[in-house]
This record gives sequence, C-alpha cells and structure tokens, in this order.
Amino acid sequence: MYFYKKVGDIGPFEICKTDYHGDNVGLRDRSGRWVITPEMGFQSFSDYDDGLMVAYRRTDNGGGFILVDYHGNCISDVYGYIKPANEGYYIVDKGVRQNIMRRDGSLVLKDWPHYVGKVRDGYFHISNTIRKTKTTPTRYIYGIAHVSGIVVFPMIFESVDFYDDPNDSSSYVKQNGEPYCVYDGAIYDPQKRHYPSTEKKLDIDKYINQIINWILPGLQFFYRDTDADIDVEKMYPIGKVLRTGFNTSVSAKLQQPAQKTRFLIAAAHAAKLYSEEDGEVNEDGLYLSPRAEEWQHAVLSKNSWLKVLDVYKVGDVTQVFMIQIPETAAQIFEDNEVLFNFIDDYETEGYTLVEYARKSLNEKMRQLVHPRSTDRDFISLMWRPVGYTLAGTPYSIEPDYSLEEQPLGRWSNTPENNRHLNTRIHWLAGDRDIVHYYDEFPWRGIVGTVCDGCMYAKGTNGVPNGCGRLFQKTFRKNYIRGVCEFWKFSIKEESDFERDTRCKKEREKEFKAKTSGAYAYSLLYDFIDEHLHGDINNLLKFDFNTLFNSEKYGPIKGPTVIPNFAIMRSIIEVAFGDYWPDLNVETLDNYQYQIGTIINFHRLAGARVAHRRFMLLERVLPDPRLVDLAENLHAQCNTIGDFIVWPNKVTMANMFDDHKMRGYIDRLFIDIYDVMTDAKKQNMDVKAALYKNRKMMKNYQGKDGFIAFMKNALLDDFINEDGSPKHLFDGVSINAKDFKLDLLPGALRQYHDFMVPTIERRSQRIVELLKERLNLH
Amino acid sequence: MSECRQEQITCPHCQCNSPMTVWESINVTLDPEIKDQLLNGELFRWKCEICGSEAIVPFGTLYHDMTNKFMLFFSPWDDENTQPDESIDIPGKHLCKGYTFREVFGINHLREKIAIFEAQLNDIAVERMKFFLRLDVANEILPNDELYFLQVDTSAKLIEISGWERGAINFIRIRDGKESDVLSYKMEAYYDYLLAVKMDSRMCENQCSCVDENWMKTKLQTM
Repeated sequence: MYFYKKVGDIGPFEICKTDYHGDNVGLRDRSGRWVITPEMGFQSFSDYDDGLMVAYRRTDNGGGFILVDYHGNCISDVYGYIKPANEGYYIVDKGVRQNIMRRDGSLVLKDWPHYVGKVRDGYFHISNTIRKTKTTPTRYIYGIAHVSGIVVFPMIFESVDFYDDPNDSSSYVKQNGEPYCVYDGAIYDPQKRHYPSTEKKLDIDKYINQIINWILPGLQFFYRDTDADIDVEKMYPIGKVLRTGFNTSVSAKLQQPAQKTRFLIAAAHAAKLYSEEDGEVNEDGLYLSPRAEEWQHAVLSKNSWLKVLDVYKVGDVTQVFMIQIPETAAQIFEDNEVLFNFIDDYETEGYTLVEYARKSLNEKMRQLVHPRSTDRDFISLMWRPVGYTLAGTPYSIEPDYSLEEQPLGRWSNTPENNRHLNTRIHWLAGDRDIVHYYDEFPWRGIVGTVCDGCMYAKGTNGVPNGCGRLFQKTFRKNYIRGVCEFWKFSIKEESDFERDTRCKKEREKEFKAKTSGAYAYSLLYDFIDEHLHGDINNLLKFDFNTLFNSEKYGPIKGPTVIPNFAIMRSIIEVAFGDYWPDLNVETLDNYQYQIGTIINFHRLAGARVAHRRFMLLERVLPDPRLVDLAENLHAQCNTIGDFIVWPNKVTMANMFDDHKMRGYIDRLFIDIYDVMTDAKKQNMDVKAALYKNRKMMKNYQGKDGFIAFMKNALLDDFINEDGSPKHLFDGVSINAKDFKLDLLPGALRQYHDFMVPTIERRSQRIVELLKERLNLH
Repeated sequence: MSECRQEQITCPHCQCNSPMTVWESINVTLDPEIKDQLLNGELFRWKCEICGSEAIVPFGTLYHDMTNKFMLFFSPWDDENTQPDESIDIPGKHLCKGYTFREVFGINHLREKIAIFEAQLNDIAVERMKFFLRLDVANEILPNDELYFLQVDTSAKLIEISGWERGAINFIRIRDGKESDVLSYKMEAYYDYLLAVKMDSRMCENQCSCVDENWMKTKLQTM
C-alpha cells in the first residue's frame, strides 16, 4: 500500500505519485487500482490515445520517450521525443532525424528524413536540410510520403503545403518556382502544360493561301547592317527559320553597306516608326523612336519569324536575305514545299525574290554610303545579329511571352513600359498570326494579343480553350474584346482583377467596420493610447491640426479639414450616434451627415493670418485687448466642443454663415425653432432644409423635438428654461450695411464672453459622454 | 520476322510423341495473325496427333511490335518465385533507338502491356496510377483484386456524355467470385501520373525490367 497523491489525469486514468519512488509516477484507474505502478520507472505520461500513451523513462543513458500501453508494456523503442502525428500515428525523433511510427511501434519509413509533418488522410510531408556551403545557402527540400511506407514523391520540391481544407490530403508544391498540385500520387500543373493539345490536325492546304496573303502583300525591303562577328554559313544556312528574339530595328532605306554583313529583310509586317512620304506624321512611331524619320526606322517585334532565302556575297560584304513569315508558317510549315516553292517562284518586276535581292545589293554597292550608316547610335542599334542571343545561340522558335526585352530609346526597362511598347509595335506592324478557327472562334495565337506578356498565356497550349487562369468562355470574350482584367506579368504582381477584388474586400470590410461602430470605437481606443497618453481628458486640449499628415487619424475623405478627419468622425459617431438615425463614420463619409462648427468670429475679427494677427482687427481696430479676445475665441475653434453634427441631405452645417444670420448660430437655432413650432414668420430656407432632412429629423418635431435636438447636441446653453432658443448676440458684422465700428468691441466681447465658456463646458460634456460610451470611468 | 521451332511433346494419355510449334519470337508487325493466337491462347494449345487429347503447353517468347517500337520478353508463368530479380541485359539494345523493352509474366500482364503500348501510353505512368488507385480506399479495390489497363476511350459519345475532353482511361477489375467490371477515370488523371513519372527520378527505367506492381512498390519505397 502506497501513500500517493494525484498529479494529473490521462485518458481514463489518474497519474499518481508516491513518497517512495522519487520522480516516478504510476497510473490508477477509476476504481483506485494501480494499472502501472511507480516501480515500472516512468517519470511522465502524455498523449493518451485509445489505450496507448507516450511515457518518459529515465535510464542510465539519459532516458527517452516510449510508447506504452496501459499495462506499462513498451510498444516502441526509446526515442528522443514522441509526439502525436494525427490519425493514430506518432512522430518520433532520433537525433536530428524524424520518422513516423505506427501504433504497433513499427516505423513507416526505411530512411529517416530530417523532418516529418503530421499525417493527413495517410499522407505526410518529409523534408531534408541541405547545409550551406561556401557558395550556396542552406536549402530545404521537401517530399511527400504515405503511412504505408512509400515515398510518394522524393524530396524534389522547394516547398510543400497541404490544402487549406483539412479533409483534403492534396498538397501545393513548388519546383523551380512553378506551382503544382499533388494528389493521390499524381501531380497537376495548373497551367495544364502537361496535357496534350486537343487541337485537330491542321489541313495544310487550307492555310497556304492565308499564309501567302500574309507574307506577300505590302512586301518591302528593310536593311540592317552590322560588323558583329557572324559565321554566316553556320548561323544563317538557307532555309533556316529564326525567331528575331528581340525587337529588331531595321531601316527602310540604306545605300552601300558600311559594315561587313547586311541583313536584307523582306517584310510586310514591320512596325514602321517613320512617316510614309504621302501619309500623315507618324506620331506613335516618333513617340517610340524620336529619330525615326532620320533613320527611316522600323522594328520587327521580338516575336517575328524569318526564313533565310539567300546568302549573297559581293566583295567583302555578305548579304543575308530573309523573308518574314507568320507564326503558323514557322511552327508548322517550316519546310512545306508547296508554300516555299510559291515564295521562291514569286516574281516582282520580272525577278524572283532572291534575284531581286541580289540585284538590290549589286546596285547598292555602286551607290555612296548613306550618312546614317556611319551614325554611331544607328550602328549600335543595328549591331546584334538577327535571331541570336548575346551569347551567340539562336532563340527558340517558340514565341516568347515574357516582357524582358529592353525597350527602345530612353524608355526604362519595366514590365509596364515593355508591355506598352509591345502593344504599340504589334499595332503598327499588324503582325498577328493567321486565323485558325476553333468551333468558329477566330484564333490568331497569343503574339500581339491582349494575352501577350501574361503569365497565364502558356496555359492556352496554343488553343483557345482557356488559359492558365480563365475558362474558355471568359477567355474567348476577353481575347476578342482585347481587354483582360486578369492579365499579370508575374505571380508577384497584382492583376486589375485582383486589385479590384482586394479593394472591394477592403471596402466591404471597412464598410462593415464603419457601420457597425467597430471602426470608430477601435480608432478612438487607439487614439487615446497613442495621442492622449491613455487619458481621454487630454482630448480637451488636443490640437487636431497635428493630425493633418496622419494616415490613420487624419483626413479620410473630402477636403483636408478637421471635420473630415477619421478621428473626428469617430468621436462624433461615438458621442452622438445614439441621437441620429444611422449616424456613423460611413454615413459621415458619404455626407449623409456633416460635421460643422459653432464658432464663427470672422465677421467680427476677420481671418487669423498669424499669431495675434486678425485681418479685420488689424485693419480697423488694432486694439490688443480685442486681439486677446479674438485669440481666446480662436483657441476654442476646432476643440472638441466646437463641433456639431448636422443632417446633410441639404447642407445645414454652414447655413448660419449668410447675410441674414451673419455667422451667428443662435439665429439658426431661432429659425429652426420657428419652423418646428410652426411660427407665423419662418425662414423659408431653413424650412426647406428641415423638410429635405425630414427623415433624419424624424425624432425632432415640434417644440419638444427642438428641445431634444438641442439637449442631445449638448447645446443647452443656447436655450431658455422653457426650451425656446436664446437670442444671444446683436448680430454685428463687418460685412453688414448697418455696421458701425464703435459697436465692434462690444459685439466681440459679447461673443467671446458667451462662446468661450460655453464651448469649454460643451467640450467637457462631450468628454464625459465619451467616457461613458467607452467605459473609461 | 518471327522465329519458331518444332518440339516433340509426349502425350500424357497415349505416351506418343506429337510435334508442337514453339515460337521463339513473334513479330506482330510482320505476322499479325500470330498475335491473335498468342492473345487468345491458341498458340499454347497442343493436340496429340494419335489420341486427339489436348493440352496447354506454355512457353516463353519474345513479342516484337515494330510499329509501336516495343519488345516484350514474355514468360507465361505468373509466379513471383519464377521471376528473376534482375533485369535482362539486351545485346545490341543501343541499335533499337526509341524502343521500350519489358519482361512480362503471365498472359494477362502481356495483354495489358500490349494494350498500353499500342495506346501509346507510358506503362510506368499506368502502373503508378494503378498503384495509387489501390491505395485510395475510396476506389474500393481489394488487395486480391486484379487490375489491368483495358483501353483509352476517346469516343465522341463518351466525351459528349461525360464532358471528359480527352476521353477516359479504362481499367478492368477481376475479383474472385464476381463478374469483372470496368473502372473509368478521366484521361487527364493519366497525364497527371505521367507528369509525376517525369518529375520523379525513381520512375526511370532504361533496362529491360518487369514493370509491374512490385516494381512500382520497390521504387516507391526508396527515398
């Protein structure tokens, strides 16, 4: 019999400790029977699961964790650590490596990775760390395994994550930066590049006419001379088809070559940046290349295809003659005899194209070198051999949808600039592919379309059945209209659609927060912490002008004035939200309500242009005592007590700043009172405004309504005991016809003596109200 | 061309010898009629010329399809104990560019391999697909069920009904005591497994091995 004490629970058992066995613990069942005695030497039990649990036992070698049953039988070997891995499996540690253990203690994997993840529907992730070397940083590689002991994918991935849905055992993986989805031992490329095209075999004859009509009409010679090292035999064998690979500048007019190699390109789809002799000024071209006229500058887009027709040498000059062909011709009819025999046999002025090209060089050799052939900028522009990388390898025939091409001229190399350039060049060149009809949909490939440059374009697999982002219907719609809100250059960029969606979500979230009060309360709490040192009483003296540049508390909508500050709208919502229907930051943002001010001293002192400088007083009565009064009034302006909320179906906030009321708010209250009590003489403007605002003023009708309006707005000082409005001021105004200078000091003092203490009191009351609302007492 | 030899078989009933044609290799491109005999078992059927009794006399042969570029070293005994662990070394293999070489055990596996290669599919991808179909309990394939590739169905009717643009890959399931049934999956699933095979370096087989469930299991157990 032990004297024991309970130290915890595990499953249906109690973990108990005795005075006789040191740190050892045992298990007792509910009937008090020892199922595992402390003598068995376990120091802890954890993670009970259907009769099994993880126990710790200290040994001479330092101890470790073991899976035991409730009789204390060891199911597993001793491991550095054992933790549950879901679905009845355990993750076991041995040194720096891990494995998955079954309930019978057997291990799942023959080899131990550095890391194993938790099990989901039989699958789990594995990872190894590849230590850094002098030249490479530490790397982590990931794979996927199954509890049956198989490694579904070895560690070939850069990252691996299960889907968000906990019931789905599929994983997102990345390899070489490309995302894939792994499911049931298979792997899916979201861009569908691994699926064979469903395109039917092309009827060649059907396209021959289209291609010829693409190549020949408008065919014109363009020149590009270079002194670059070119092995013409190897790089430009006759018959070879090349993709230009970069935006290739050419000139429409050159004479004798000044360089050793001349590319003579017969093209009907070059983007002419210069103006045609009998045409209008090419504004677009000049925008892209300011020296376009001087150079007779034209550009073949980087996705232009050329076929070498002839190599001809005269003296030291070698002419490589090429013809521009459409994408389909390059991809499918590269060696089609019918097509190219037709081109070879095509005659102009009694010569075949090749004969004409040779004749051209012979004639040019008799001409002088054109000055532009020695222009340094022009030579530099023409230097690169057509169709070859800087490293000297030919570009792939496959179109390149990336936007990595260096733009022309002084344009900076950004995806936006390149996209714009790309679009303009294709527009000027009119070099889109011939039409292929897919269930009557006219498909002209990707090059030069709205999809050009988009990261999802490869997902089309060359057919208009959708792209990496869109299904067929939307894809085709966007393709035809030439606008796609899903276009994006890289995964890091945001498409228009994503931006709109994000903004919409943010707006919805903001709307919800602003209409629910969450935004206002949260902002006010933050404001008290960040600007009022945790004490809301500091709001009384707070200068809101300091928040002009604050993104969080400053202007959120409308002109940059304090009533439009986020914090002011939040204060108004919290303080007065209960007294007006749907008054919140959102309705203030939408101007359903407007925040106005009470003090208006401009008609008595003029505008304050600097400290102790009031325009009117300075001009007509520069008495320091009056300036003191004006300064005091100014000090109360834009304090919390100066702000008042008005319904704003029709603006009422500044209604009293007119020639009738002269900036005195007491007059507005009197007029409101008259309308509400249906007095004989009423201000019709005020009556109209109250009528227009009747929905928001529905709780404020009749005399009682007026009293409630004033009291709720904490304007008790403006009404008499019987609830009627006080006539407080004489109405002196510099702008009025009846203005007399000798009345000004008295009027200013009268205004000051009432307003300053009233606004101070109101500020204090608003702070008290906020304390109550925010539970800050 | 196909090669054969005559063997004398002693009749188990009358003990008399009767000849039988044993095909050492069958070139189905040149001799397509032998293919049918092989696949329906006619080729292994022997009849005693004296007493007329019949027997099945299986023999191994080389199945050669020049059109689809594959050679199958066929052994009729589908028994694990008779299967060699090592792959066959093929002399002059480098001369057969683009060819696939496989060892096949059992007539059903032969039929399956022929169907796979004639459908221009990758047999490793098909085996991988089968392996994981078995692993997923939702497919209700029991451990003793035999599962063989049957065909790729790209009929317009199927595409119209199922909406599976690239058709279906069909497997036949043979279960003891039950009628065989056909399991159909989207052809896209096959391509997903094909991509997995391309990305998983363990799935490469340049030797002449027996690519079957055991081969797949062994490969998948390595890291």
